[in-house]
Amino acid sequence: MKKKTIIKAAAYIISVLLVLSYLYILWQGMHPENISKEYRMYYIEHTLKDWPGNGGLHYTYGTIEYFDMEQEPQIKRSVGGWAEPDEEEPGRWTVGENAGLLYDIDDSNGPVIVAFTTTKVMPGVSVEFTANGEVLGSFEPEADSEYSFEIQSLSAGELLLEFHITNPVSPKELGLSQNDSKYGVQLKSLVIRQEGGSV
Amino acid sequence: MSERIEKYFENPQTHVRRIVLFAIVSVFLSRGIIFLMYEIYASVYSESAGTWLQELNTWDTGWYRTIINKGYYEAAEAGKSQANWAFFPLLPLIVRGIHQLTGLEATLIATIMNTILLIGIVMIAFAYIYETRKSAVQAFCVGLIFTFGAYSFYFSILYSESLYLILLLITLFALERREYLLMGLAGAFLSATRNTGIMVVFAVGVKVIMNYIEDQKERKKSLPDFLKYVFGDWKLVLGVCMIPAGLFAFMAYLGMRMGDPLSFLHVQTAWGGQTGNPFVVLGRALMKGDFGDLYLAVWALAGLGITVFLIWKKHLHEAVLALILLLIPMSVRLQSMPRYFIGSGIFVWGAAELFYAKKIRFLMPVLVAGLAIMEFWCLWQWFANNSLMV
Repeated sequence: MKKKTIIKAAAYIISVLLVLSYLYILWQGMHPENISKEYRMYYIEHTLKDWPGNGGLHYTYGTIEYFDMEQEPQIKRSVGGWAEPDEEEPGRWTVGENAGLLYDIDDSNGPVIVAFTTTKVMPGVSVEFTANGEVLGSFEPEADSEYSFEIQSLSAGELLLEFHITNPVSPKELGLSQNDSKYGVQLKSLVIRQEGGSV
Repeated sequence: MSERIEKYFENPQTHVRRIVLFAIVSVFLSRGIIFLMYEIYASVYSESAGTWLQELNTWDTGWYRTIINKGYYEAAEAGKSQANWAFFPLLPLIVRGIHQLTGLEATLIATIMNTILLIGIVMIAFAYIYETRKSAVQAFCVGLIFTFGAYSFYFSILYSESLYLILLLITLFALERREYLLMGLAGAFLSATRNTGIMVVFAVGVKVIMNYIEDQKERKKSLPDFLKYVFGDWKLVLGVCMIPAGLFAFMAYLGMRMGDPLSFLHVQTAWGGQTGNPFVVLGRALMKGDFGDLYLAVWALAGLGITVFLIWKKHLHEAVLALILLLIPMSVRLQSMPRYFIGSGIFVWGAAELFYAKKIRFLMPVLVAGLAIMEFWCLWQWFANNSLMV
């Protein structure tokens, strides 16, 4: 009888301990601490649309990053508004009205130049280019062209570059295919370099 | 024919022996057919076909191999967001252990091990269906579907189907017999086998309520009385608490390995798809009209139909589990619906019970034969790397 009581008590204690351990692990799961910012943004918050790897958002000034799949390093910073990379395309299209790229940058210690190259452009689109919400310039892009904009200085932290597209057009609207995604401009490469620095 | 089958298995002295014989013969015959299909495929596509092990073990078997050979990733490579955290550990752990003992190649170990487990599946399914439906014919048909039916090749490759189904059967059988500690132990291993393994707790909850109602037939029922009924049974309490142990052990390991205990869930984002209303997903597939979507939708509809049937037959705990196992994947996409249908087991014995109804019993051989013929097509498509089979 005593043995049965001990077994019973042990069973209940083990059950309680199991449940408490589950609650602890679940709490840890809902508040993960030892994960990178990139992991949190991509896998949990879904604000990052490309997976850049842990620490992959960090940017070294002067590095040219490519939108096509032939060259390295490939740009993996999308926070939305970009078509999936395509082996058969020379670059990557903006989709819809807003396409953003996120960077983790160091102090620029002076002005920087943001330069990018276009490959293809949909007819009739215009672009407003911003950095952290501040307008750097507006233009009507042309194919196979380079554009550059100056930013006076950048502090260490996040840099969000955005392409705001007016009048994106789908290939379907142009009678080219059944694809109804609205494209704006296709980019080949982008670099942020410190003024006076070479690529 | 039905009476013959019932008579064959009814003698208590030969019952077990005959079930074992049926299981062994049906598994070996069916695996022989799979091998023959491979030989035919390889003779047609001799230049591109690999070995039978290679042709059978494709798609997700690669992920299990990464876990067996190198363990779980600490981090996903830049540009490659898919990671092996999505694949639960019990199967690769067992295969890795056998590999370290024997030196045999992982896919060979898994093929042999899962085939042996399939023998166990047929035996335990027979015992479970005999216990719950009192019908050797239904049990016999279910055994034939698991061995010869569509998607049965999944039970002999480096996928978790065999391990999952045998553990689910043991859990449900133990639950049926109120052997709650065995239920808890099997359930713990089940929850370490696949992400839906933990869902068996809902079946346990419903079955306990059903047991309470049955046990307290003559007495007034109330919530306090029910709680006393449940918490007064230490084996039930411990058994239920044991079931999630496999899942949470995996979560604890993931937390230590790469920082996120819920990474098995979060990594699903890498495979695309948004969680939505499963009926909207089903409706969209039906409206789309192309063969692939319609094919998958038919399986989903069959699953829903069988779930309703299980409710009608008052197998409520099975119905709840069936609904969960159907709606979770359906909320994202219909891909893999046929595999889940067969691999979950419940839909198969639910279908067998449905077709055993007096007025349509004559269709039972049609069901079994139809699914067996379909297996030829499924295998050919699998060898051809058709994603519809995944």
